[in-house]
Amino acid sequence: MNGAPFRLEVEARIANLGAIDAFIADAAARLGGEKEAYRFQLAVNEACTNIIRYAYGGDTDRPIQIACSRAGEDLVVRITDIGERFDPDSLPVLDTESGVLEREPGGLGIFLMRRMMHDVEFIFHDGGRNELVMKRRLSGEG
Amino acid sequence: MSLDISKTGGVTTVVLKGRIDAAVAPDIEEQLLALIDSGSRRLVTVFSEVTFISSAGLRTLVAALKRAKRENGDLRLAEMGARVKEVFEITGLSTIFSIYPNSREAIDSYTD
Repeated sequence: MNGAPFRLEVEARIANLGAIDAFIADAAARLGGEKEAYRFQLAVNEACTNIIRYAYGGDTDRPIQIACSRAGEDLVVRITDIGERFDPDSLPVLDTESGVLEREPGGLGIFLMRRMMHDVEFIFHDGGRNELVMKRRLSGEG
Repeated sequence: MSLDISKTGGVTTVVLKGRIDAAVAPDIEEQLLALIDSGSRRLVTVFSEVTFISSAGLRTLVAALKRAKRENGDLRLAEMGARVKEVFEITGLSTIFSIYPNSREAIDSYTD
């Protein structure tokens, strides 16, 4: 199953997390990922929270763009912002044994994103556009 | 967010609903801390109506757990679906919270 992606553009505000969540739940279901939609809902929620807090430095009228599509067995979410570059490799490797609370700001969110998805890639384009691509192979399992 | 709060004996039960994320976590944290500070130190949080919990929600619950423990109380968790439980397990938080299958067992655990 492939085809045109489902798209959403919202202002980067914490209050818009609800609209983003509804969009992801609907898009995942339409693309055949209903049983695993919550994994995308959580991963996208974490990603957008980090964009709002760290890329944009708080609520702003600047955009977050989200596209959901199907590529073979993968469900793919692309999230784009034009805020500060947020390099996940600058964060320490997370160790669940050492106390979840001592993690760097944003680090726990990225940890959850990587656990919910099969592939998480940050792409920093020339011109200040940041793109996060998250994929998960749909298994049909919950 | 309005929380459903009830008291059974000396135990305060709080029912969480929907997404527990950065949009609602500050409000939930404020209400939980206010409960503890006003003397409700034995708490049970019910997750049966929670769709997912994000890192912001996890931090809120840990903040409330720390405050309750500081006051010689506890924050125990109940009725967690498999999806929410998975998040507690992969973050290691299932080892610092007491988690019960249902709210009755969580409430009764305070008198064991």
